[in-house]
Amino acid sequence: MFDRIFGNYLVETDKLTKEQLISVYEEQESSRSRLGIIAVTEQMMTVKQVDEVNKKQAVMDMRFGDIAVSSGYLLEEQVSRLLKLQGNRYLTFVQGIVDQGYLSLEELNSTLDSYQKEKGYSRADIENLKSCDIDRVLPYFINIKSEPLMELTLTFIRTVARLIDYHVYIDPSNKQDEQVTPYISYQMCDGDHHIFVGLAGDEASLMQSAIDFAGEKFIEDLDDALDANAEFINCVNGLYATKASNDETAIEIDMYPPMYHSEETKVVGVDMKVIPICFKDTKLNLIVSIDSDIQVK
Amino acid sequence: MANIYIVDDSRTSRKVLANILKEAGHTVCGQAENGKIALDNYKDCNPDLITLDITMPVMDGLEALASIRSLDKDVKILMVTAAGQKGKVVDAVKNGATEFITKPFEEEKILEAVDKCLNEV
Repeated sequence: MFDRIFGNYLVETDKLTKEQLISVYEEQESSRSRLGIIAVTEQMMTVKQVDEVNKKQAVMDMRFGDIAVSSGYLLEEQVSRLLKLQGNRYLTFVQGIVDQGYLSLEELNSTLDSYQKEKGYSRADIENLKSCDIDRVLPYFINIKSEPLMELTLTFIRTVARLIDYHVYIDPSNKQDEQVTPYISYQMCDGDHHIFVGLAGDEASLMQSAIDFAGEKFIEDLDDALDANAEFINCVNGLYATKASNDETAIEIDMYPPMYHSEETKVVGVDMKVIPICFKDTKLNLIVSIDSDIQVK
Repeated sequence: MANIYIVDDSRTSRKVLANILKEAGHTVCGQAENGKIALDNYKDCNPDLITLDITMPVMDGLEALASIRSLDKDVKILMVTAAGQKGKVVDAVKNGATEFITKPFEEEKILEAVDKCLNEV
């Protein structure tokens, strides 16, 4: 997730063009980070030390990690940590930028420092963001105090990442009392909590998410797309309700059949969270609410 | 290979499930969008197995399950639902479901559950 968010920041601050960013994302799909890139990004080695190890590796039949350890630059446990990070999406993203010559590692780290200062984040916050772990990243972009609502939102985003696009990210959320949307799929639940989950957007976005979830051959028109999005919400609420019922607190949630509207709809309520969800070049609004009276008109 | 009747209010779910079952060599002999329609019509195609969602309008899957089971001890019934809460599983088993699996669909798990249902004595 943070690879997308920081990627947008690099374009907004003119460090990369949109086209360069797209080419980095394309390369990212098939790469794992080199240990040297990770070591510098994680501030375990300097660029000079990595260059030295790379030069030695070119003439020795030894692994980067082994040379770095024998040169006194890394400990064995640090090499293990670097190996675990090789699939990390932020690090493959960084590697893509460097490999394509768009920015150096120093420039990237310097831009990340600027991002950190601008947002008022600590070093620990940046580490959380770079982990690209949805559970650790999401709280920085959504202000949700209710634990059940946060868990429901996390379940939704995790499911999008698992079933639709693992590069999903979000734009900052708003608290709203009213949302007007061209189309919407939604579901209400009752029981220990009154829950509303809706996906709102234009035709193109809803078609895209439906196709990504169900498969292109099953989505012929907008009605199919709204039905598929409603079913996706049903799956997410089911996952949340199942986990909640099995937890120590044994929260019971009963789901009503999901619904959709294929005309302009107003969603009205108090303390609704509207969270723009971005995936595969499209954006939908996730509308979530817990224990609040929501009306769909 | 079996005759299978699909019950789910989601058109998408019915299409996806039907596709999985047909590609595995089964025949989808009918479909219904709620428990009432299923109860009124499933006998027409004499299915070996019914897949039954729980969260549906008009008549939900648990009510449909109890009604079908009271009339038919032999048909296999596979609950295929997003509502995987402990209470629902217990109710389904109590009312005579043969097997219970949760959405989102995983093709391998569905076919495994279908085979298990069909092979149950």
